[in-house]
Amino acid sequence: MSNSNLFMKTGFLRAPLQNGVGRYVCQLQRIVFKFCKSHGGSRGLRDFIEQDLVDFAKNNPSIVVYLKPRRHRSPVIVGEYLNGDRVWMSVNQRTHSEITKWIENLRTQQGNVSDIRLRKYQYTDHPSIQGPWTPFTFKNPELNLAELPNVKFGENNRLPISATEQLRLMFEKQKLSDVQTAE
Amino acid sequence: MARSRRHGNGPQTPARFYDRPRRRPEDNRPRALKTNLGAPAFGKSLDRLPANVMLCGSAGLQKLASVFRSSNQGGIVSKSITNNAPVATQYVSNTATDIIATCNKLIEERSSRNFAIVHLLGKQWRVTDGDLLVVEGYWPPNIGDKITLDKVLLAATKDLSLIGRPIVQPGLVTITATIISKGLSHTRTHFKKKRRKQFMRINFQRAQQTILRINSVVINNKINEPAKNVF
Repeated sequence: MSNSNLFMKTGFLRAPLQNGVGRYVCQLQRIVFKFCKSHGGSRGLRDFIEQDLVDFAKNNPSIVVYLKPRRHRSPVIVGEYLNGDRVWMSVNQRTHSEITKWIENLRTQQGNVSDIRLRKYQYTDHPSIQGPWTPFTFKNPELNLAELPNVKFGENNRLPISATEQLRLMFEKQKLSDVQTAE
Repeated sequence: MARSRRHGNGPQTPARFYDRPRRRPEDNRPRALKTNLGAPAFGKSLDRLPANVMLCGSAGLQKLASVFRSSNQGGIVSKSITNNAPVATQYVSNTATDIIATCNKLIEERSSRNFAIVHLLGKQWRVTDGDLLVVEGYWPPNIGDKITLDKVLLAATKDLSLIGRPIVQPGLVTITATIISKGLSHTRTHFKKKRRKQFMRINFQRAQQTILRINSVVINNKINEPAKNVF
């Protein structure tokens, strides 16, 4: 997804004004419905205005709603956000239910989030809390005082048993069994 | 003697998701208690520790366990030959209680920032206070909702870690989050073309994205207290 959108802006995950810490503020500030009173392309938007607009405004007292009738132009919804973003959306020939969904989307997003490709899906101020791991993390500090070379710390206890050792073992076992059979 | 007991316990492996249901009832105690606060201790007497919580903090035990495992392969004869015999660790029963007390004190003091690993819509996130997450796909919570994230796989502070098997006991850790935005991602283009085969497809899609603010990661109960079933 990186090179296929060469001219797309990229960005990192941010929230305006520490939103959600302590209080939450709806980021949609203003919404403008532009429509024609007579054309068929505005039918869905007109239906929305007739049926749902009052409820929408009532349920969202923080959002300023403007209606802008204009003759023989296609319907448009414009949302303006607290961070200064402006989202322009043509809703020509859209049905009432489609428009309802798009308005809900405009209402819930925190700006023009579709505008940028997110490079990271997480943001943190504290990338590490326990610190980076080192080979000495969680090790017994007696290693700090030991004089090297040291039998205890120098012993090879990581590798599996070697072929030579295995042969030696087999040999010793055979010797033991030889002794037993001799007895 | 210590070695033979360890043999009886079997190889000490880190807990995984899938091995939990298969455990036998007598195995219903933490297999390892490790800490970076003191010497490694073995959790034989930790019957009161919640079954799905394992204290962790040290790699020393893992190393010891690997020593014992290798002794299984080679046998005692091999050890005497190669002079690889492990250092005899004496079993100190009150080390465990000391560690638990120290951990409880650390939790109570809130001396450092907490973090947790939560399981959320099939993904695991490392979260701490003030983090932002983006969850992709359909997810019902709406903007302004305050939710708690309950599938906590691990909770930790700077000095101690509580590892769930697979999740930390319910009610031990509370992670609260606020939904701050629900929108759509940028348009992703799926373009396929096969050369010389007259095949070309182009699809566009936008995923639903929900942005979460992590408000707090709090370790509630003291760790060795009996479980309070909150659900």
